[in-house]
Amino acid sequence: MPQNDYNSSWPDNLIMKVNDLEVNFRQAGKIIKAVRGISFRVKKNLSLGIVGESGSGKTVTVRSLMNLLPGRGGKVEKGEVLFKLSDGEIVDILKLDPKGKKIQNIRGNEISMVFQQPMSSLNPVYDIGMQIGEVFKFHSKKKKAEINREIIELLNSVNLPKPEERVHDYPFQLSGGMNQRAMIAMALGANPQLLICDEPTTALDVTVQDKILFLLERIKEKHESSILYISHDLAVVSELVDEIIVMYLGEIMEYGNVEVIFDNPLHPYTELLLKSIPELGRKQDKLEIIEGEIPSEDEVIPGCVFESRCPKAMQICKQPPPSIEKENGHKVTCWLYSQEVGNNGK
Amino acid sequence: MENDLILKVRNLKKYFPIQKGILKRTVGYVKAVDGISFDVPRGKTLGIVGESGCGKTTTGKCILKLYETTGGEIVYYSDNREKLNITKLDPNQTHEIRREIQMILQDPHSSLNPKMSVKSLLEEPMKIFSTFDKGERKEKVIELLDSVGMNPEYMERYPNEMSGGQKQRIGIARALSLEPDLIVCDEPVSALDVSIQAQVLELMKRLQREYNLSYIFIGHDIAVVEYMSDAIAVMYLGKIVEIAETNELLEDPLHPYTKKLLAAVPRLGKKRERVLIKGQVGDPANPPDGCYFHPRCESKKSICTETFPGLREIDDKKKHKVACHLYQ
Repeated sequence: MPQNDYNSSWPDNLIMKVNDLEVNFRQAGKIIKAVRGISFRVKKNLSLGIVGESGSGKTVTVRSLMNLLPGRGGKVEKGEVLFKLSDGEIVDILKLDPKGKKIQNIRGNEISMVFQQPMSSLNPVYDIGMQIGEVFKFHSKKKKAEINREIIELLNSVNLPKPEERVHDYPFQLSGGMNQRAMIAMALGANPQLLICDEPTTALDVTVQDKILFLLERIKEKHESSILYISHDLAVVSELVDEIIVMYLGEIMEYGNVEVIFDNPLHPYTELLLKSIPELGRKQDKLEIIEGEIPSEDEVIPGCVFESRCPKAMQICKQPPPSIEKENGHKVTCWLYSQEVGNNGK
Repeated sequence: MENDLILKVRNLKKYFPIQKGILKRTVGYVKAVDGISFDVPRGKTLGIVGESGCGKTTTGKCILKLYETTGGEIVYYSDNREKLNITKLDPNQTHEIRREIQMILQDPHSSLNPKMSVKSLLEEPMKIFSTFDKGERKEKVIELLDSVGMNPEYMERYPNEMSGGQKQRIGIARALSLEPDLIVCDEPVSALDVSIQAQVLELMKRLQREYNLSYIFIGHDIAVVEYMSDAIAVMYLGKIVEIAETNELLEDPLHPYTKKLLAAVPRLGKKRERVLIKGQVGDPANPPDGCYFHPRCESKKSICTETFPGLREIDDKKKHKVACHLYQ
C-alpha cells in the first residue's frame, strides 16, 4: 500500500498535512485560480482558524479537504491532502474516488463539516431528529431505539432546550441558532477527529453567535477533536482558535499563533486588516483603509498577490515572494522579511 | 433647542396585522415598532442597534414613509425650519420629502437595477424630480462619482461589472443625487468585505462633513455603529430599551440587555468571558407581560413581570435614557 510511504516522517501530533494545494476553476474559457498552492498542517486537539475575505479561497480549501470539489468546473491541479485515519492509516484524500466507499467513510466519521446557512443546509421536509439519525444509519449499525436515545443525547449536548420535543420539529420551526445547533449535533454524531466549521455564525445575531462559540469551545475541550474554523471575522476567530492562517486571493499571507499574529502582525495585509476593523470601545478617529479592490481571480499575478494594494510594495514584489519562517513557527509570505531585500536594499 | 434637530420621533408605532382564513380576518398584530421616541440632531448620526426582528429596519422605513405608521408622529424639520409631520403627509408632499430624506440599502447587489447603467441609475432620481436638464445631469453624475471616489468612466458600466464595494458607492451616490439632508442607512456595510468596509465607512464620514448630512445608521455590528454614531439607541422587540451618547452608552451601559449585548461582541485577540443570555428573543406578536426582556433578565424584580418600564432620563447632559425598573 502506498500510504506506508508517509508513515515514516509523520509526527504524532498531526492529523492532517496539506502540501502545495492548487485548485482552479474553469469558467467561460477563463481559468480562475481559487487556491494558489498552499501548505499547512492541522494538529491534534488544536484549533486552526482560516481568515480571509471573499475570494480568498478559504471555502474552496476546506472543501478540497473532504474531496467535495467536483462540480462547476473545480479541479485540483496539484498537491496532496494527507490525513491520518483513527486506525492509524494515512491516506491522500485527493487520490480517493470522490464517490467511493473509503471517502464516504471519512466524511462524517473522521471529518465532518458545519455550514454557514443552517436553514439551507438542513432538509426542510424532514424533522431534525431524522436528519441527525441519518448520520448514525449511514455510519453505524445500531438499533432504532438506541439511535433515538443517542440523537436526544446529542441535542442535549449542544444545549438545545427540550430535546425530547425538539427532535420532532422541522427546521422552519426552529430559530437560526437552534438550527445551527442541530447542524453541529449532526456533525458531532460520529465523533469525528476533525470538525470543519465554515462561517457557522455569520448568519446569526451576536448573542446567538456567542452561544455557538461557547458550545464550540466546550466541544473542543470535551471531544478532543481538532477544529478548523473558517471565517471572515477576525475577532470571532481570534477568540476561538489557537493558530491562524490569513489568506488573500488563494494564498497564505501569514500563519502563526493567534496571540503572536494579533500582537505582532508581519504581513502588511494582516497589519492593515487589523487596523481597518472598528473595534468596540477603542474610540478610533479614523480607520486604516486598504486602497483599491481585491483583484479578480482570473488575473495572472506573477508576484505577490497583494502587491497592487500594498503600501509597502517594492520593485521585487513583482516576483513570487518567499515564505519566511520567523520564531515559533510564525510564517510570513513577504519580500520585506527576506534576507535578499535586507542585504540589497530596495 | 428644537432648532438643532432634523428629526423628532415621538411614540412611533407600526403594527403589522396577522391575517388568517379565507376572509383574511385580523387575528392579531405583530408589534414591529411599539412606541419609540428619539431625536436626530442636524449633522449628527444616530445609531440604532439590535438583533434581527427588533424593529430597526421598520423604524427606518417608517421615517421614509415607505410604511404607513400605526401611531405616533415623526416630525421632520426641513432646511428652512419648516415643520413637517411625516406620518400625515399627502402623496404630493410624500414625493417632495423623498428629496430631503434618502436611504442607503444593505445589499448593493440587489438594490441596483442590473439593466441600468451607472449613469441612468444616478440620473433617475434627478429625472423624477426634474431638477436638471440633460447636460447638467451628466455633469452632476460626474460630480457624484467624484464625490464617492470613482472615475467618470464608470458611467457606462453596469452593476454586474462592478465589485460589491463599488456598487455600494453607487448606492451612496444615488442617495446623494438629490442633495438630501437626512439619510437612513440600513446596514450599509454588512454585505461588504472587511477591507472594503473601512473604505465605505470613511467615505460616509467624509460626505457627512462635506454636506452636513444627518444619518440614521442602522446596524447589527455594534462596533461599526459605535464608530459611526454620535448617539446610539438599543432596540429590543420593538422598543428602545436604552439610548445615550455613544461614549456614555459604551462606558456605562445600564440596561441588562445592553450589558449582555455589549458583552457578546467578540474582541480582537482577547479571550473574553462569555456572558450568555438565557432563552430566546420573544415573539413580537405575543410579547411577554411587563418588561419585554424580563424572561431573559437576571436582575428582574416582581414589578418587571407586571408593568412595562417607561424610558426614563438618567443623565440629562449625556442624554442617557433607559427603560428599566432597576433605575426608576
